[in-house]
Amino acid sequence: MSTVTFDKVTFGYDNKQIFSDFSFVFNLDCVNVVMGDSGVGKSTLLRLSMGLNKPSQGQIYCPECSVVFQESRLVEQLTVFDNIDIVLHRAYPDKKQRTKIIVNALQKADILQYAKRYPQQLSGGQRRRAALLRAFLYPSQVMLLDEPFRGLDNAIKQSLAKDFLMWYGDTPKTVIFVTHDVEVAMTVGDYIYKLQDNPANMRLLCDLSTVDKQNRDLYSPYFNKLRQQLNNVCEM
Amino acid sequence: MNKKQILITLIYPIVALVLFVTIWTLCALAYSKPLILPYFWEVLAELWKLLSQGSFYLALLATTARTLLGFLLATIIAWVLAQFAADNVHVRKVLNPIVTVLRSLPTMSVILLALIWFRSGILPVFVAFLVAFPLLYSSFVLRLTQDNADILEMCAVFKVPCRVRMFKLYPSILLSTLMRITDSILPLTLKVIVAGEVLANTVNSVGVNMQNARLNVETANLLAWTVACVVLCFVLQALVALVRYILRRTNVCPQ
Amino acid sequence: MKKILVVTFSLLILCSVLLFGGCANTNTDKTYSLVVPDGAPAMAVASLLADNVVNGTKVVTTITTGQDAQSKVLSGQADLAILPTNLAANLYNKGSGYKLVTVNVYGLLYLVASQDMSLADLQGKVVASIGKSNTPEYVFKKILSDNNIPYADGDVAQSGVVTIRYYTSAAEILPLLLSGEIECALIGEPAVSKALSANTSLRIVADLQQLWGNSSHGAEGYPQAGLVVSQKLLDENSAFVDSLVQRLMGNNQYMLDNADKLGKLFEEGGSQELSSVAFDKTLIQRCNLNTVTAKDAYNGLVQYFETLYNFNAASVGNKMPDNSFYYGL
Repeated sequence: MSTVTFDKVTFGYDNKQIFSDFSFVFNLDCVNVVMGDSGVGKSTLLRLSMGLNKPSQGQIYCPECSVVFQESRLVEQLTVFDNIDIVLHRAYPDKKQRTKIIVNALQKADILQYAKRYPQQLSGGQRRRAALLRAFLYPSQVMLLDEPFRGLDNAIKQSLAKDFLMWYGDTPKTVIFVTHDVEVAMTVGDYIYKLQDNPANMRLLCDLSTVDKQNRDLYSPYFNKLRQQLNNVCEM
Repeated sequence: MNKKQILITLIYPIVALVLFVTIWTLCALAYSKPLILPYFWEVLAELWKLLSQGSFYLALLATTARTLLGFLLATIIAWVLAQFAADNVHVRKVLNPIVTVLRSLPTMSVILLALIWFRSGILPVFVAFLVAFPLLYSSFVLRLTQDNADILEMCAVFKVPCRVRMFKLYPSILLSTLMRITDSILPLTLKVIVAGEVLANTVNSVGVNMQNARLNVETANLLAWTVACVVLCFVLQALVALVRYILRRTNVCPQ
Repeated sequence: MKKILVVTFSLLILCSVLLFGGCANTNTDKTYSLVVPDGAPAMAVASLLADNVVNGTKVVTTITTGQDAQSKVLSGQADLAILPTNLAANLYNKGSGYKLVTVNVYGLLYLVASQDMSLADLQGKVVASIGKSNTPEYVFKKILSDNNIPYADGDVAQSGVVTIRYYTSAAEILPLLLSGEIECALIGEPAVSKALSANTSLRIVADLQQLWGNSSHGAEGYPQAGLVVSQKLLDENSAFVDSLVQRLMGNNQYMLDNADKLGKLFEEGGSQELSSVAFDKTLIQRCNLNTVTAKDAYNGLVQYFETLYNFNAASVGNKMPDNSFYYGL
């Protein structure tokens, strides 16, 4: 099974119960956008999927996954190339093959000139792009993104969302995409959910699986209405 | 850097030096016991005499060699152990109390004990190692486990293999850490080495020369050696800065 | 009128009493400070510790470290001190103004080992020694070279050469000597007696004082330590100094007569090295505590200083002290 399944999961921190008997199956090979208020448990959802936290009850089925974190989490002391390289060692033991893959990808993402540079020499947007690239190149059936474009300005956000779509087009996976940004949600999402209440549960807000992701007009009447709806539901 | 910038960079150290020398001379005048507190020109005269002796340079070289050796040993062992400790919580928990004890050992008692066990040439190196190692190890481990906790998480999620972590990831992080802390640990190592040399009467060393000067009540000579030691320290730090610069230019290390 | 006279007269009497009384007080209340390093030098003033009044003047003796004694002479705080003679010459040459009045210790260095051996037998062995850059080093090396025995400083034995390894003090050497880790050691009294009594297989294999006498073709013993007095005191009260010398002349006899009381005496005086020593005739004689005036000791002193000068001119202050260093010359 190459999708993420939560089966009667209970999990909480010392003072707060986040999930109680929570069951959910994410849609296979789709972009599942998860929105919700701060603190409701979106990051926890991802951490449980990654296996960084273990539920006190219940089970989570999650195959091999790539992650894009809130911070780009690039190793400051390694070049951009090396940052991606260390992650692909296991999947591609042959160095030549690995190098070819990375170079091609960097070229496609238009950051090949930064290959030998260090993360601190890149702009915020370029770092996120590198992190995104790293996640896409890592062979996995699932990708988890935790507010990956947080803190960037809108133009860069849109540009990165477009990049995401480009990479996604080549290698579709089951994606759980946590975001606060309505525009981004509408750009990339197949299904838009809201994680709400305490203990949390998922509420489907919108099904966009039939709308072609590559050619969305976000200012069409349909999307304008959706935008309004989403803004009301997810008061930021 | 243009002329004005060079001037500005030099002016502050010069002012500080002039201030220092003035205070020194005033104190010496007030105390007026040149055997206990010589005037700075007497010290300079002694230093000038030393500069013409071959044994002076030999002693400086030998002490520097011991300092670098002690520092290198401490760095290598701290580095290797820190990498294992970062990877494995059990290793970390076993090493922690040992390193804490080493860090709290009073330097003087270590020297006095080591005098019984070691030959006088090796003793200063051993003591320097004991002083530098806990500091380096702690810095390395903290850097890896605390400052880079999120990176370690990322590696766990992406299942970065152990070999890659040990030979690529950790070394890169620790190299940059080393470049930053060398500035404070190297002078400390030098100080401890000289102290060890004094007590061990190490042949051909700065320490033994200081000891002899003290025994023969040659206070100006002792101060001249002290000045030489301080200059040596500055030279070492300049060398470290040079190494950092080279690493940056060859793109090996960002800092 | 009468009242005024009475008051004035009383005041006059009061003043004169205070004046003469004060004078008398300064005379009998004058105390001089004497600083002695712990160990053999302290033994040289045993009789002063027992009775600190000399000819009506009090002498306060402080037993301290060698370093402290040296700095009190440097700073002029001490009126009198017992110092190694070469250090006294060194300080005098540097302008301390303290002159040598008597020599009080004629050497107390011995080679101690676990089996009998001659000087020649020391080749290929390591001798643990105290006193680097000081009397023990130079005296021992002079004796070796006069006997054509090669030596070298080092840590491990080398064949054909006497390897001398230096330690900071006898306290460091004793445990190693007693446990057998060190074969042969050059140490001074009272450490020698401590070693011999703790391990009966140890013995004295060489008397450096005797060997010095042989090689210098002169009297046994070298003028190791003596009494220095500040120029100020010599100018002020030379009569006291002469009386002090007389008292010190009798110190050796005093020690022999009161051997059983010495341990306690030194302990009360503040000594750490001497408080646990069992004093007996043998030990006291081994210390060579003969008091000789600087004038009488002149030739021996010059010869001793010359030897030291040849090894390391800095140990006597880079030149031979001039004649005014020797009081009474």
